[in-house]
Amino acid sequence: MLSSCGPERRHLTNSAQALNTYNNLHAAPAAVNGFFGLFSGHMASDDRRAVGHRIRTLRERRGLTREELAARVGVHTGSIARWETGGSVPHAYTLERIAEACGGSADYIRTGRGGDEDEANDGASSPAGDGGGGDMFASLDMVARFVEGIAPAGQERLRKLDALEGLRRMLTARGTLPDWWYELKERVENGRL
Amino acid sequence: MAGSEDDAVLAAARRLVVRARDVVGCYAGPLAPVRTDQVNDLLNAAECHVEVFPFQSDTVAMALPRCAGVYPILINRSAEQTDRFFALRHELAHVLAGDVDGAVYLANEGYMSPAERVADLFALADLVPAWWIGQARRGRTPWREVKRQIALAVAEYAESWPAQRFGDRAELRLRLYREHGV
Repeated sequence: MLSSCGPERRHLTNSAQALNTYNNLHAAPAAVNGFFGLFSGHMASDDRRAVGHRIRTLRERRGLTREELAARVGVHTGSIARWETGGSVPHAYTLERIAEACGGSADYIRTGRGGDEDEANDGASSPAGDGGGGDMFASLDMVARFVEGIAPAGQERLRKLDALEGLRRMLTARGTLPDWWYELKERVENGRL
Repeated sequence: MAGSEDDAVLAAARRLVVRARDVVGCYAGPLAPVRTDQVNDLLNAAECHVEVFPFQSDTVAMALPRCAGVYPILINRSAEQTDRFFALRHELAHVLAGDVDGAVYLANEGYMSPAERVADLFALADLVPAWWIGQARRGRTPWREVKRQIALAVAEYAESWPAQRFGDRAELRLRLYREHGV
């Protein structure tokens, strides 16, 4: 597949447009870094991911979508996604509301201790470089949750179809296409996912 | 706070480069950018499966969670060639870092998250290599001018980026060279 990209070349040519862009950009990054610093700058990325994983685990056990949790907590769906993937961690007050909505404790979300003995057995995947993880596509429900994670039902249809097309190509190349793929395609095309 | 966050991003990107060099010794090295087959070696070692096809959306690339024993990386054939070179390395970084817990887009959303900054920097470490920065610095050229040159080089992969992302990555790329020798 990669050979279709052709020979790689470097493009280090001058570009007046790029220079103009560069000359106009310096004020904003500090503000953005400040945002992340305020909420998560003191927390290592591994810890943020662990917090995010616990939020996701609690949410899924409660049977909530990201959109539903966002509505209950009073934040944007994108914030839930950012917290769950370790991009940042919620403020303490928000964490309490997440815990309340998911039926867990804020302490557990923060530290991983107290109140959720099942975490060790929940099949969470580990980074590829550490020996590989579980298969997130083991069932229709799991794949549906992944597609739902791209965007709420009925939104970002083209992206979802791109993801499904990529899965179809990959799965076909590696064996057979499971039945869940057809079900998912139908749900996305009808705006039910 | 922001300083420590930047330091963590730089350290994480350096760690990923070191891990890549375990497989392809010259990643972000004197012969960088590495060849397509060498990128392929890295992807295989990380258990990635790449599919290149025309997307219906304007997304350049995405990495998906583990499926059938591999991490699917999807690349939009309709994207510019430079974007695809960048996207492969960027998505590979997400897999190496263990970020892939849902679709990861090469889009502007979330571009200032630590994971996205690390992935961008990993890609730029090879595509705007240290040897080239060293040449720009030759003759004790002021760092300000070197930074401008780096920004121009980064721009080749950043035509559609918001200015904020572009400036941040150019700054980080210079720091990765000055502070970590990468």
